[in-house]
Amino acid sequence: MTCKELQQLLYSTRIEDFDPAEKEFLKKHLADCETCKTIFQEVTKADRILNRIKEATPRIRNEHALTESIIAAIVSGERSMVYTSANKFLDRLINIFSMETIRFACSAALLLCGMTYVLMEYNDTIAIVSLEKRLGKKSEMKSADIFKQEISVLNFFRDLYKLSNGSASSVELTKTLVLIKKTDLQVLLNGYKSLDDASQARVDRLWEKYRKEESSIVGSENNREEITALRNEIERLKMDVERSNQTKGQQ
Amino acid sequence: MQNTIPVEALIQLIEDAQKGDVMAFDKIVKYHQSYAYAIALRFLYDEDDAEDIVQESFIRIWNHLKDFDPEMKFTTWMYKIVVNLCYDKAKSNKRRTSVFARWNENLSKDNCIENIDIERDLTNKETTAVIKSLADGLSEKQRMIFLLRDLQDLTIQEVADITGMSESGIKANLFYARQNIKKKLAMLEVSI
Repeated sequence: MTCKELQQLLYSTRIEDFDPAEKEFLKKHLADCETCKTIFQEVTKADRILNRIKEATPRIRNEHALTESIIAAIVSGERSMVYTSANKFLDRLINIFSMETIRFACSAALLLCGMTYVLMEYNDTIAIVSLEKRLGKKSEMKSADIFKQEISVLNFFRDLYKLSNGSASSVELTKTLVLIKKTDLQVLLNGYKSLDDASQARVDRLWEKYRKEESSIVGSENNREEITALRNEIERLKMDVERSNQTKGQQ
Repeated sequence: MQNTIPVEALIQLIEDAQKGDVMAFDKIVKYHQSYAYAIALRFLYDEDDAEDIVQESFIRIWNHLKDFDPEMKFTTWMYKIVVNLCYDKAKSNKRRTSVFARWNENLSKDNCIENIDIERDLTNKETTAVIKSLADGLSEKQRMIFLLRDLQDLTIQEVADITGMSESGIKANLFYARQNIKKKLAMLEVSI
């Protein structure tokens, strides 16, 4: 090995990494060569400095905080991976509802809706109870049966009312029948109850007929005759009822 | 730095983390973040940048944990990610003019290698100042190879795996870097 080769080896390789043959050559050569000895001393000093730098391991300012930030980023990243459009919509909704005025308005609207619903339910209950009393069947039936019966009776008279008095929405009509046209209803109901079996059967048949032909009757110009016939039938029924009541009153 | 973790325990932690166990990954981070930080700080000379690199590296590791090849050493894989991110960061730093202001701040006269007492414990700023002084004039590749081999104490094979270079390429670059650095150190009036 020449001086140049040794010097290159000294500069490029850590002395502890020299193989035994190189170490032996170095030892012998340095005893005779002042130039290489000087370079060896410089390189040794450089290696020591490098070792000090190697030992001076950089310290993280706040290891715990760094770990926390990594884990937090991972967890939030996981959330964002499942951040679907539904989540985004929900987030937007939450943001909107976090506004105080919106929250107040929504609460007020919800309260109003709730109160209206309760009131409507209460009215319906009152109507059902009154109808129940009129039917006088409370003690004989279970509440579910009563309800079924009431619905059935209400439907029957709704249909009847609709045919005799023209069009109205079924909700309005039901309300009208139950709450406003109580007298008419009472008359019809009493009349129905006071009818003999044949007349009741006639009403039932009328109802059945109406139910069957409802779709063809409603909104059909061609069935005008049929509608008129039905209306006449109902008028006759009303008159029968009134006559029956009058007879009862006289008795 | 953290004590090294037994290989079996690390494999178990990786397997758990691959199944989505964040606590297992938390332990992996705790064991390895200082190694990642050391290479990032020594390369980028900036503590904020180094912490950013560590965070980004572990997020990438987590996201690609399922792709981890158990045949490979975990630290090698981690260093590979850290090194690539360091190169990217160095590139973006070059584009930013503010980086010079930061360097001027960090590498003030007090942090010049001649004024640093190597014998006592070095602060992060002093360490980076010394490395910066020594590595000045080296290419990024030579600097990284020097850091990995001589300061992080990795084997030539590991450095080759991390950088994707051949062993002979590593040796050639390392030779140039060491020669350059040792000549600088030899000329310094530093007593040791």
